[in-house]
Parts: sequence; C-alpha cells; structure tokens
Amino acid sequence: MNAPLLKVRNLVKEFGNFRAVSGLTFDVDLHQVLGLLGPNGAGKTTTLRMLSGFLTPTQGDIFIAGCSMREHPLTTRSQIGYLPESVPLYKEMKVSEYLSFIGGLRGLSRGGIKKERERLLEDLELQNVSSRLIGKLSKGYKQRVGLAQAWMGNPRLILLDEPTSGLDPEQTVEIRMLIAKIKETSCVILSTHILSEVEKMADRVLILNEGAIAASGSPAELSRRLAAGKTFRLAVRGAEEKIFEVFDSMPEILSARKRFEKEGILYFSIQTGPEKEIQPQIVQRLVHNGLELIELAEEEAKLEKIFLQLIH
Amino acid sequence: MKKLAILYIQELKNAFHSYIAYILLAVFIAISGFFFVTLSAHFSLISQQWKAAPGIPEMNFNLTEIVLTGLFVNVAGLALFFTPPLTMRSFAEEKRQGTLELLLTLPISDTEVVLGKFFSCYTLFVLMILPLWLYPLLIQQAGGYFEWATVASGFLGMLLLGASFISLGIFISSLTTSQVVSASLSFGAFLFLWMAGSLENVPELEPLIWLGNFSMLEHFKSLARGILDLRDIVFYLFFTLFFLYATTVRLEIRSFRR
Repeated sequence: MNAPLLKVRNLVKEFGNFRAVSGLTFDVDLHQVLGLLGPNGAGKTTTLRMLSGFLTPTQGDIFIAGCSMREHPLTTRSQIGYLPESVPLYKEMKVSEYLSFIGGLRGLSRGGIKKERERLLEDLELQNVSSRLIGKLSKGYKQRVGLAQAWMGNPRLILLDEPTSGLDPEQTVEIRMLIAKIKETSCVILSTHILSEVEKMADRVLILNEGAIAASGSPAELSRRLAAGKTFRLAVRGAEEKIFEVFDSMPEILSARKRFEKEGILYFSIQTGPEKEIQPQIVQRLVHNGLELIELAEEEAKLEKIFLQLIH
Repeated sequence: MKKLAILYIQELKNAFHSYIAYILLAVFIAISGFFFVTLSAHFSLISQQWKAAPGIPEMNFNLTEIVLTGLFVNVAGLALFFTPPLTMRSFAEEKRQGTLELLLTLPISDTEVVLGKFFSCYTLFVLMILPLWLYPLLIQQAGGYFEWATVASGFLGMLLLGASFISLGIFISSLTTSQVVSASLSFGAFLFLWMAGSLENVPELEPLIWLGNFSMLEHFKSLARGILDLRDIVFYLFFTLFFLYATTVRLEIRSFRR
C-alpha cells in the first residue's frame, strides 16, 4: 500500500493565549479530495495556512511525501499550490504574464513554463483573456486565474480556501469540475462552510470545531455513523386514519408525518430509532391491514444535520 | 538566484506599469539639474566678483567643492523626499492585496523576496542619480577643472545613502498595509536620521546626543567632500544590512493580518 501523500501530526497553532488549532492529526492520499468543514473560526483557514507553509505551527509537523515541512520548507513548498480565500492576484499583470511569473518562482524551466502556461490556459478556458490585465477580469475569471496559479507546475498538493465563495451557481459547477480534474494528478484539500459543496466535491471530510477534529470520514460514512435515527419515505394507498393507526401501533416508529397526497396515494415521512431494521415489519403490518404499499425508501441523513449535532 | 532575478525583474516591471516611476525619475532629474544650474551660476558670480574687485587677496575658488560637493549634498537632501515613494509599495501593497500570503508560500526564501524588492527599488534610485555623472562632464566640456576622485567619492556616498534609505523604507513598508502610512513614516525616519547631528545644538536634549552618531548627513558630508573614511562606509553598509535582516525577520514572524 502506498504511503499517504500528506501526513499531519499533532498540529497546533497558538496566537498568544488563543489556540486556533489544537492537535490535528490526519493523512491524505494522492488523488483524494479532503474537505475541511466547520463554522467560522473553526480553524480551517489557519490549518490551510500552516499546510501551505505560510504560518509555522506552534507544535507538530507536516510531511509531504515523507519530507518534513519544518526541516525542508522550500522543498515541501515546491510541491504545494495554494489559493487563499480572497484570491489575491497582481491586478496590474496580464494573465499569461502572471502565470509565467508564478511558474518561474516555482523553479520551472523556460520551456516548462511555456508548456504549463498553455496547458492551464486551455484547461481553465482562459485563452481569450490571456493577454488581458487581471484587474479587468470578472470574479469568475479571477477565480480561474487563481486556480491556474495554484495548479501551475502540477504540484502534488493543492490547497483551496473556500474556492466557490462568492461565485454564482454556474461558476460553482465549473470550479467543481475543475477540482475533479485536478484530482486526477494531485491531492486537493479544500475548506468550506457550505455543506452541500463538500458533499459534492470531497471524498473525505474533516469536520472542525474550535480547532479540533469533531468527526472525519466520507460524506456517506459520516451520514451513516452519526445519524441519530433513520428517516423513511413511504407511499401508501389507503385510508389515512388506518395508516396512522398502523404507525401508532409500532413503538419503533418515533414520529410520522404526512407530506402530501397525489392521485389517491399518500406520501409519509417517518422517523425510527437508530439501529432497528424495521422495514420488513412496516411492510408486513401495512399489508396485513389491507393497505397497498407503493414505496418504502430510507433517506440518507444530511451532513448538515450531523454538522449541527457535532458543533452544538 | 534565478528566482531572485525573476522577482527583481517583475518588481521593476510593476514599478513601470504605473506612471509613478516615470514621474519620480523625471522630477528628481529635473530638480537635481536645477541645483546644478544654480550652483554653477553662484560659482560664476562669486568668481567674477572676485576678479572685478581689486585689492582682495588671491583666493583659490574650488569648483569641485562649491558646485559638485554642494550638488551632492543638495541631491542627498532631495532623496529624503524621493525615496519613500520608491519603497512604500514594496510590502504594504502586497499585504493590502493579500498577494504576500501567496508569495511567501511559493518555493522562494524570505531573504530572496526581501532582496528582490530591495534591488528593484535600488535600481530605480540608481536611475535617478545616474545623470549626476553628466554634470562633471558638462563642466569639463566647458573647460572647467575639477577633481574626479571627489566626484567618485560623492557618487559612492549617494549610492550608500540610497541603499540605507531603501532598506529602512522597505522595513517600514513591511510594518503596515497602507502605502501612505509607509511613505509618511519613512519620510519621518529619514528626516530624523538626516538631522540627528543637530541634537548637540539643543542643550535640553543632551542625553540623546549619542543619536547623532546615526546622522546620515554627517556621514555623507565627508564622502561628498572626497574624504573616504572607512567608518562612514561601514556605517552605511551595516545600516543597510541591519534593516534588510530586520525585514526578513519581520516576514518570518508572519504575525500580520490583512
């Protein structure tokens, strides 16, 4: 089995008496997208700033491909592409000029810069603005230029702080697709406070709260592991009172709610306890009482719900 | 070194993207030219007066001292005003735009970043004072005699003074996110260092007389007169290196927030 690309060990960051990040330990593999999720002040940006080499950790260390960031800061930084939340760019530079500048500082040869610049202009659809001043571009284009500089030289670890912040839905989808593309060659760590984003983009999620890991796993795993109970969606044909009588007769069903009625079919949402596998019993009872079951499906618990449970 | 060169070239390009660099260069050269003309006219006037007045004992009017040393001292005073606009952008603007966070996460050392910015500002400064070489040549063309060694010493003094001002200006720029604050503080600091020698004239400030050792003017005066004192040269070099180092330390602390 391959060693993880990124190893973070007991990472701590203190600003005076304030501990912004406290003892983070996690690994990330190549071709994986890790989402850092948490409310404002959870330590996401501070964590990314430490991973990027901008801030030095108070304690702990970061290893990229086995190389310690404390001992070899320049070597490790050469494997990192970073896009801060504010998308800082030199407004007075042209797009292609800026990408060449970043390529040069990443130590690429003249030929390498040209090749990478062409690749990025094509992949990020920036060809038609390549000779325009960055300051004159729209927010969506600026975001793409920011992503392009992070991807310049194809670093193995790409850090994106709130990459879809302030973008419209169409631009958000474009960035999501680009992240999927970057993942083919690199490992991506992104921070966000938007749950739906992390669910769509990340293979793994770290939920941060007050600088510590509150939970980790894939979005689906987290949903399963941390769900307080199960929610089922039912569609039944029959008398409403009779259906509710069946639900009331089952102590495993904690609550039942009629959602709507359409063409003689009643749609319900029911909550059960966490462990019980009660689908067979529901089917049996409904059929036994002469009711026609059209649909019975389990609803996956939303990450939002888990998130709120963890931080409160 | 390659990365330092890339940063240096880009910094220079950025400076010339705006009109500020052109305006500074043009105004500085124009004012220094004005100083040369007035000092030459002054020299011409007093030498003619001496010739026209019989009975005055023979005097040796030194063209180099009156015109060129005077020019160097005046132009050095002008640098007090023209160096802050050169350095104010260096870090303050990067911090305001947030680009410093990105720059410092690239595989380039903090020392290279500081030196790249220092050399680009210094190049602009050298471009400003470069035309000073033309004035002795003009005097020579007009048949005047002057001492080349004094000119070289004065020019060296200007180069050393400029390096000191720029290193301090860059350090001050790293302390703030505002170009205006950076320029104002730099000007205040330069003015104090220029005038520090005057403290000995104020009896009430006697405990601060030692600060006079840091007077840029006092160290410059002897170089402008053609006196090459190693202590003056070491003072400027040490001052420059100290503030370049202080700026690097400032970047390494990275406690700043946008």
